[in-house]
Amino acid sequence: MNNHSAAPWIRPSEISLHLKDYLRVVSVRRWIPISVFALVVLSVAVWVFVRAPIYRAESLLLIEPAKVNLTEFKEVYDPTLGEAGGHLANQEFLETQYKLIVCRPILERTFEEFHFGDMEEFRDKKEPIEAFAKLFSVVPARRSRLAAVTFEWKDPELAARVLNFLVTGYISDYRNRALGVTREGLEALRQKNEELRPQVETKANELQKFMVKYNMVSLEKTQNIVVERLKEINKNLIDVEKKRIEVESDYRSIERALRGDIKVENLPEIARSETIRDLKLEYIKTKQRFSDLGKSFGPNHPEVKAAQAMLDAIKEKTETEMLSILGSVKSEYDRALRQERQLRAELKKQEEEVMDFNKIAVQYKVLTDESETLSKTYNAVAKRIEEIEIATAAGSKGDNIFIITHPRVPAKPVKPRKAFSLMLASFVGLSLGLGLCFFVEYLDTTIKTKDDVESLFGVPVIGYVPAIEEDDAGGVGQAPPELHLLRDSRSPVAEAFRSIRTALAFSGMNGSLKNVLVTSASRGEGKSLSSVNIAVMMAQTGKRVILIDADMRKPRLHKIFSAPSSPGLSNLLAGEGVSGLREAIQPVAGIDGLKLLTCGPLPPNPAELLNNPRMKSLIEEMDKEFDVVVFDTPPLVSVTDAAVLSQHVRNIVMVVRSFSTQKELLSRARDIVVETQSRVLGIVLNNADVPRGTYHSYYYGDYYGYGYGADDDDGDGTHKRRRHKSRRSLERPLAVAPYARIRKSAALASDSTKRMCREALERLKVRKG
Amino acid sequence: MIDIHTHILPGLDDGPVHMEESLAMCRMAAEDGAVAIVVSPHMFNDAYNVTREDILRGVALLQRRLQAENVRLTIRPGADVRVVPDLDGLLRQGLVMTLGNSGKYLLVELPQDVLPMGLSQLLFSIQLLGITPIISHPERILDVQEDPSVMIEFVEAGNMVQLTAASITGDLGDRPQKCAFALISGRLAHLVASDAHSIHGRPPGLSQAAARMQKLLPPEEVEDILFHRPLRILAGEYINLPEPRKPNTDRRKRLSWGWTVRSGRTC
Repeated sequence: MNNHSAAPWIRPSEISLHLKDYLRVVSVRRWIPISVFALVVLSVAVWVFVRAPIYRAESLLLIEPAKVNLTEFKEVYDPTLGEAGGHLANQEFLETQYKLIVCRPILERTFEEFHFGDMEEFRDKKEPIEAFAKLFSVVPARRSRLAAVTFEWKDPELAARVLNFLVTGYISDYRNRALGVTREGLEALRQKNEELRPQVETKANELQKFMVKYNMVSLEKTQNIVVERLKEINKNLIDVEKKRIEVESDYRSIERALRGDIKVENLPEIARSETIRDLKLEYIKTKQRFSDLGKSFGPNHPEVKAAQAMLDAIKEKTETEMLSILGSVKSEYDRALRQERQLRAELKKQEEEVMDFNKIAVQYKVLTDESETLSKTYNAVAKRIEEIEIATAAGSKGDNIFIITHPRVPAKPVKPRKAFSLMLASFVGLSLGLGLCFFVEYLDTTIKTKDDVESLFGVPVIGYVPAIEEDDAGGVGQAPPELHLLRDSRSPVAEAFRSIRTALAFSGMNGSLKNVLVTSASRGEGKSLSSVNIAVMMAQTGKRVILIDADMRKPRLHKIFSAPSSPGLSNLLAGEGVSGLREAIQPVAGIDGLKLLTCGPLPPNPAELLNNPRMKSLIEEMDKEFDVVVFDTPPLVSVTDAAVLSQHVRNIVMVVRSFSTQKELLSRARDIVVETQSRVLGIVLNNADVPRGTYHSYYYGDYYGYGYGADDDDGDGTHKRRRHKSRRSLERPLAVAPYARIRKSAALASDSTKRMCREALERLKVRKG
Repeated sequence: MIDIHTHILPGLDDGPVHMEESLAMCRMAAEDGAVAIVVSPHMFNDAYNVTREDILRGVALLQRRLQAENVRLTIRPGADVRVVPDLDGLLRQGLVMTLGNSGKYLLVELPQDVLPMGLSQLLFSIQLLGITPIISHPERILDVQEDPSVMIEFVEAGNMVQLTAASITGDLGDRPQKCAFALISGRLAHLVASDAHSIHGRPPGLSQAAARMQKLLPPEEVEDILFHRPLRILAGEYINLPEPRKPNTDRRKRLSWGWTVRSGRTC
């Protein structure tokens, strides 16, 4: 339960610490962001208001990707391209046009036209056209075919004119280019046409002559006649030949019969002949009668003899008949043969005629083909020419780019954009400033918070000496800044040293401790300031105090008190120039109890001199003579003087200058302190009091403001909280922390309240001690 | 003006031989605007060893002659003391003549080429005796001409520096002049004296150097150099010296003179 209740008050504290850390950094280094911001904003403001205003003329162009050609289907819609392909082609076309609008030739023309070369902006440019081109811009409107062309120039009227010139120039260029292609093509076509026409005519003439020459109506007709005739002859020939072969076979049989190979009677012609058959029948009949008569009458019977004669006549008659048949066959054969021969001759002739005709036909064919080809080409060319002429006449090419808005004289400048620039500058300035602020913080390894030093030395900070304004420090007759508190005993510096005095008093400086060494890690941290004021403060309480300038490197005390530097410590240590301590010390005007021992002549080897055995006796003597002995020494780290001195004076007040002392140096100082076995009584944090947001005031605020606003309902939690608070209180440096708050109220209060505050402060110091 | 370094006593060193020449030199100085001069014969120099008594006698003699001649010029004793190893011992024995015989300021002459080792220690020993050493004409020392900033150490240790007027005017050549200017720029020159030896070679008189310095320094500073500081030296009084800084050497010199003039308030 306790653990649970403990958590809520730890966490917010840590978070706030973290956040406040950043705020603190910014607050402490606020001059960095402020000056960076002011610088950036101011310079931008000056730039913005000094710069000549720039006007922007604008013209809107509509660029149709391609001409819509209604005459040819293919161009209207090309299925091979498809939707995407078409889009891409369009895109390419558009991109090309965007580039063409501000291409070099037209820019050069514009540049020349308006004599930009004579203007100061371009006179000394190496590449004036490129610089000129930068003034133009082509901004395509998304998802459309519109493009805005702009030109920026200090003279609005000229800007409009220039842009107008450029845009119209671009469009006319485009048109010329598009038409230029057609015109050239047309020219070529016409030329071709001119070439073709005589050829076509010549060829036609040639054909005509050829037909006249061969008396041809047309090739087909003539061909038909020839072929028909040939066919007829052929048919006739076949017939004749067939007949001839028939007759020939008869003729051959007869020839064979005549040679006696076969009986004449068996010849078909003979057998076929009715006369022969009649004769044969008559012969048979006669023979029958003859044989009948012979048998009846004997051979010498007249009748038989008549019959015999009759038989013979018939026989003869048959033979005559047979011969006549044969003769007719032969003549028939001869006629057929003759006829065949005649036909053959005719066929041959006819065939030759066909051959001749074929030759002519080939020639004719060649001629007509040539003629046809020529006229076809000629016609095609003529047709194209006609088409193009029509298209050109309609003026469709190049009319796919339109000026939607003509450039107008801009009324208001576009640059400088005052509000925008200033806003941007503010933003940049702020971020740059903050960035630089944190960067410087990052680079800064100096001591900043009391925690830094306290953790290093393990002893508390016993005083926060605020930064001393040096406004009147250097004035003649004024006390040096180190004696600030002498001028104004109620100043914050004086208050700081009062608290240091008190702290030292409680650490034993009242009685047993007599001497203290004021030193620091490096130079310029405020040793002299601290030692002087500690001594003065001690003296003001009625003590006998001696302040010794043991810094024989860069002594300052004699300057602060305007005292001669010698005789001093070096004389005493060297045993030269002075007889004893009394002779060397000097009184300080205005402060009764304080005596000053200056450095004396500066020895070449201060450390050696400080190590002198006379030192011990000198300190013993001073301890006897004085209540408090304060040594101002050189820095611990760079030279050994302070370390040597700490052999004799073991109590050290370490002066640390916040934002100046490097942590590393301080840790080396710590090492030296440890080595010499001396004791750090406390730390004086110099240059500490920067109003609001500084490190230690932050801690005050955080610390003392803590816990009171939290809800107190849980008794246990409250208890824990308070216990925690008191524990942390004990970690505070003696008397210092409450002082800041009381001082704050004292500053606002009346004199009586101030007195009360101061008394309260003293009481607090006593109690803490 | 007060000239704190002159070899004007007759017959003691390499200065004038006869009283007449001394008188002529004194007249020159008076005409030039000097109200007082410190005679500073060489002391513990190998060639000339002059005693305190010699100097005091000579001063008294010369002063009387000047009164007789009606020359309005105050003569004070002093010496141009060569650094010798036991100089502090000699000082303790009272054998050394300090400037104005006040026992507070000692004109120290260094060797002409190098700065001797142990010089710091010696000067410290002198300072322990309550005497402020004044290093005479360091601009004529080779080591210092090489690097004028070596003088910072001595000045920070509380020693003073005196330049020769002829170095500033350029009569001794470029190098001493350049070095002198560098030392002035570093606020490392506190005094200027004539170091007069004769009427001709190195005559007395500071006005030319004063005129030259007017161009480099504010008038108050020139006045400090030529009058107020010498006066305090003769009176044996404490002089608050300005903090030295890095001298401007070579090329950057011209640029930085302006700055030197603006911020040259001293004394």
